[in-house]
Amino acid sequence: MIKKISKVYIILFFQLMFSVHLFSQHYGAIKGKVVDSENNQPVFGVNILIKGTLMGTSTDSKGKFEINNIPPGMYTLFISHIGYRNKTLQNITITSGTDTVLNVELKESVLEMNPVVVSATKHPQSLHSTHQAVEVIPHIRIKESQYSRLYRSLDNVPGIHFNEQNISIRGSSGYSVFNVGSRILVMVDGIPVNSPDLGAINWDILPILDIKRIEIVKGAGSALYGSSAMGGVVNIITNEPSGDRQILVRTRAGIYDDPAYEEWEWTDKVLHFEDINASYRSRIGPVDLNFSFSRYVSTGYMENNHMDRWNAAIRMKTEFTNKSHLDVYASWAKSREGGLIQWLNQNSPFEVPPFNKEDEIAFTTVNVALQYSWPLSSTLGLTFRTSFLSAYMSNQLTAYNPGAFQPAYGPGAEIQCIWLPNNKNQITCGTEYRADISSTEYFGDHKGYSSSFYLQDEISVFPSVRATLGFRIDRHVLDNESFVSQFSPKAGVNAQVLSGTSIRSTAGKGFRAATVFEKFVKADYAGFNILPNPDLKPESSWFWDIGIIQEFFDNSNVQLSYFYSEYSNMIEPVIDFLGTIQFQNRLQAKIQGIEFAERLFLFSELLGLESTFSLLDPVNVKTGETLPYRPRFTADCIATLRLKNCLLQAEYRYFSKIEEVEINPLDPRVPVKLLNVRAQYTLGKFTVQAALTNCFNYHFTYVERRMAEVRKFSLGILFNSSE
Amino acid sequence: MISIYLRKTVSVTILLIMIMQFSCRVDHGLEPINSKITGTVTFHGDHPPHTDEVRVVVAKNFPPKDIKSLLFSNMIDYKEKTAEYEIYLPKGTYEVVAVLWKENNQSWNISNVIGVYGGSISGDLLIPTYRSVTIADNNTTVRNINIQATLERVNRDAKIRGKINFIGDWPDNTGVMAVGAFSRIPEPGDYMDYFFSSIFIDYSIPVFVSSADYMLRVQGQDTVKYVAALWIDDSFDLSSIKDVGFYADPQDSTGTKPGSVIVPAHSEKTDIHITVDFTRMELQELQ
Repeated sequence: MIKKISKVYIILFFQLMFSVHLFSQHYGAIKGKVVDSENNQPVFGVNILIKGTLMGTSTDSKGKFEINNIPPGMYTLFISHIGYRNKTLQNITITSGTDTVLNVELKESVLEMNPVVVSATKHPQSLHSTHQAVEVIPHIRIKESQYSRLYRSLDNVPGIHFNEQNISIRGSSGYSVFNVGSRILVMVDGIPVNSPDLGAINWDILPILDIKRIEIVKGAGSALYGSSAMGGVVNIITNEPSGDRQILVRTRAGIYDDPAYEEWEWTDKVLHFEDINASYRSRIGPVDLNFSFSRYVSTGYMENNHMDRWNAAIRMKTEFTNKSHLDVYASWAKSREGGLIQWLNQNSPFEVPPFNKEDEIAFTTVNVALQYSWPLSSTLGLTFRTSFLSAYMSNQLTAYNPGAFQPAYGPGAEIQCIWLPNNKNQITCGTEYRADISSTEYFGDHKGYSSSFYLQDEISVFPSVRATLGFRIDRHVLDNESFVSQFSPKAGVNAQVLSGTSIRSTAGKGFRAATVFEKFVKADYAGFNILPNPDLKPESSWFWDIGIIQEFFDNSNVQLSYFYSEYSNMIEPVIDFLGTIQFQNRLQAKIQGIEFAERLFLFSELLGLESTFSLLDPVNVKTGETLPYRPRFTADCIATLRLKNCLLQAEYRYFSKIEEVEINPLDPRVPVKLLNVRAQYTLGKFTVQAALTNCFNYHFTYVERRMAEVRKFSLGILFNSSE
Repeated sequence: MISIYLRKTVSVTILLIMIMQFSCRVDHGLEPINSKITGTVTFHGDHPPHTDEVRVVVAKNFPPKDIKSLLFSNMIDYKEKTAEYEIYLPKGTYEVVAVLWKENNQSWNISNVIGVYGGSISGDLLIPTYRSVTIADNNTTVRNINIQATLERVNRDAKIRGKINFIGDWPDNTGVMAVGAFSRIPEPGDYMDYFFSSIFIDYSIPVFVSSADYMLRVQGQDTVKYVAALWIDDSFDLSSIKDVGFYADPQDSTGTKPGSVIVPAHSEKTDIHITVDFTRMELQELQ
């Protein structure tokens, strides 16, 4: 069966290659200029896409753009840029041998409600036209939230919950030590970066100022992305290099408050944190580049909670005369932090047991990726991606077996093709290869390989209704012995039923192959003995969801979604009645829920009122019990007042009490209630930022016996040379 | 215009500060627990070289349902003759306070209890008595919960090895299969008696298999009067423990008389086989 399908796609691939002759026609061109509607100044870096084709460009520093070699016909242009409202220009006529000139005015907007996203289908499309639930965290939100660590910025997205650094989308995951076996695939510019041996996520993999936006695909993404995308996908899109020189520097310092109770105070020292981020963007010869660097140092808010982190990244991009472009990205991250496992006791929750005072964990991650995009014609494009990921972890935890995880390597390669055979279909297909090579004293030497093929067809059923059908076949081989084949189909639909109303629905399958760690780890953790289980099978899920987005006023919307998932053979750390831990395919679960979000911007965006609510029903099918580490109700409300140069923001976050935990169920737990307030003031190229996080100094635990962060205050300054 | 912005900014700031001030007095989430028990553990004997850690554990009920229903103290220093401990606990009555030893690279095992509050020790034996502890409203710090602990009990320098053969279909509600070595024949079905008469119980025998090898650590020279296979249902409730087979005296042709074993120190005794015949048991017996 797989061989037959492979043959069909090889034939299809060559057909696509030979269809290049379609170019040899007479062409027209679009030229023009994009300016700011308020001050008539040219806008640099505006993306211009011709809908229904793969053609597009972006404006230069004078706001000018030009798209050549356009076959004659009627087109729609989609124009987008960060900080401006999107614009669609319809019925643009292209005739042979002539230039169509367009002058476009863009209106400023702080938050675009319908931005361009790429993660749902592996090509650009507007958010409201996706078949699957996608959330976007724009750069401005990351900047305004003033967090030093990336994962904090994702915490207020409806349907996302973090247990410390363990991400769960729609209840997909609970908690596992070191974030092992994540059911969420994290990518940087479309390249997977989950560690090869642990399947874990290093959220500190890149400098935070490097991020242009974060896209979150909710629900299984295995039909496009394979293993690990079982619960969803987080795609971190980095800033594109550009010819205009820009220097961005942000530095910040802050202090942690004492705990709310005198008896919990444990030190007379002032606990503090500092960070510096810098990025430089310029052009050297034909190459646009973006270099960034960051350092974060913290004493931590409790004993042995210190952290010292370095990040550096470079992205280079160059365009060739045939409009193809080469994009190279490399990042390096190194951190050393206190290895806190659990508190001394509930009356000294900010102290650790004496024998854990020196525990430390160190991580080093290197990620190198190369992408070459080649638009063969207006209807056919190829992208080659190759990447190399190295993840190294060492620990000196006395409670864990001291030692080092040797670097695990994850080289990979992908060829992706997008083909528009007619004005009704858009086909995306590709093949991907990835290796996982690891060697540690905890689980020995192992080599895994995965190869896959995916195909997706987006069909315009009616002008306002678009259906998506797709599948992916994955084959996993581990140590040349066990292999697993998985077929992951999906089907989705998006309908723009009324002006400003978009309805979407998706059904599909997800899966995750067990990681080397889950199969082979043998260790002693916090007094619990972890045993290997080489017989672990992949876990899988079926999901279905439906959602509606209604736009209103000028730039506001409401969203409502219902989702339902069934998980089989879930790989969970099972603790037997003696306390022995083993990863087992033990759990069958049903998870359903409702998400609601409203984003209301009034008085020309002077006042923003945003709120999100999620209800979750995560049930163990066998026992009827709630799945551990998943709150049933979460809410997040943000009020923003944007004056001319000033911003004031208050955010209130609530999680209901976690009903089930794994290790210490008798420990008291409380719901989470957090109030964060932020302010910033911009004067020319400088912005001063201040934040008070956890204003209530509210004490709670995400995971048993580890107190969450206390109240902290930070003050920072941001310099942007292009403001 | 600027003054309007300033007024708005100041008003919002004051409002936020008021909210913060108000909230600071209202709810800080988790609170300190002021109730606790404290005491001293007095160790007898030398700690075995394969000792990982020792903690005081508290159980609301005894036997505990599983390891998760125990409340653990921090590690205590077993290398000294005495060690102070304290455990912060919510108010209430706790049936058992005990000292639990853990072996390197092995799971916690309640068979490794080396001392119980209210009990006493005799060499490597625990005297089967214990006392509950109550933390009341008027007595939030209960002091002098002192425990005598014998490291001799876990200084197991000899081994018994054998095979358990399972005949017939395993009951569907099987949760745990264990094998134990006992200093006397315990009263059937009485977990407390199994617990206090045990030298060691290994709860990790594989289930739903036709046979399994086992190894029990015991004290050399002591007489092991009973070696038995023990069954626990899938609720993992220790009080559901059932005696399903034992090592029979090889001299007894009927196979109904338990055999005793004496192993010299630093050596092992093999071929201590046990047969578990599920076909000879009524299902009700195992429910």
